Amino acid sequence: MSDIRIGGSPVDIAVSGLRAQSKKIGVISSNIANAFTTRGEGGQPYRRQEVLLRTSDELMGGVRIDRVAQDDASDFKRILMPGHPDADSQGYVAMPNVDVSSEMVQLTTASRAYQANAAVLKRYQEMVDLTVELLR
Amino acid sequence: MGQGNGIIPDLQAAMRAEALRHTVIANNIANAETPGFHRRTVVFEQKLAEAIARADGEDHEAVSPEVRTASDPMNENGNNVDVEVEIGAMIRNASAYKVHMRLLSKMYHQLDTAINGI
Repeated sequence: MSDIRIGGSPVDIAVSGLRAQSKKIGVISSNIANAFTTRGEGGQPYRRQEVLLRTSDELMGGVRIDRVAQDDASDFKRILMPGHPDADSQGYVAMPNVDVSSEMVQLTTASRAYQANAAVLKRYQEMVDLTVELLR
Repeated sequence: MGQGNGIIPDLQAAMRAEALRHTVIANNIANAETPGFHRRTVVFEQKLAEAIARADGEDHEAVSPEVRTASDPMNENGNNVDVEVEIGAMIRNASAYKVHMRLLSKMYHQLDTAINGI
């Protein structure tokens, strides 16, 4: 055996993937829900959130959720709506920097990744069952 | 009883602990959205290993599973159940149960062979 410490079992790794993707889906749904929220924290429109994933410190330890970061780089969309209570003096309303269609794409990606991790879990379970069958 | 039969009570104890753990995990999943619920875990293998390390005789058979309430970080509604983690624990537990069940069945099969012949 080598000295390299192999981290978790496939169950732990797949579960870490499931948790990461589930967190991602949660944050994406928050972005979609707030796609038209003109007033969030500090009177500013909502800023989209992004989950940052890191590999686990352990070798083969799966993935861990580093943090949920705010997207401050992209600008708010300015839409002309003079009658809106949050409109500025020129009649423009600042809308969140959420692009619903790109969030939908990310939602699909995240749910596919979730499915993939669930498939790994299921397949591993089948493998163990196969080994147990040898104990007849 | 011969040497090999000593393992039957151990297997039974392990299976009892696993059955209890299955119930505890099912309860955690059922309460995944219950405000203020704290997830519970079953401690058995660790206690058994400690008892075996300590024991010079048979007293590890007295080891019984213990239900503990986990104090992991909680979410907004005071609940710390993570369904994915529980499902992982349930799969692992079910695999261990299957292995022990097969081993137990094999032990009984051996006894049967000894009594009735092949």
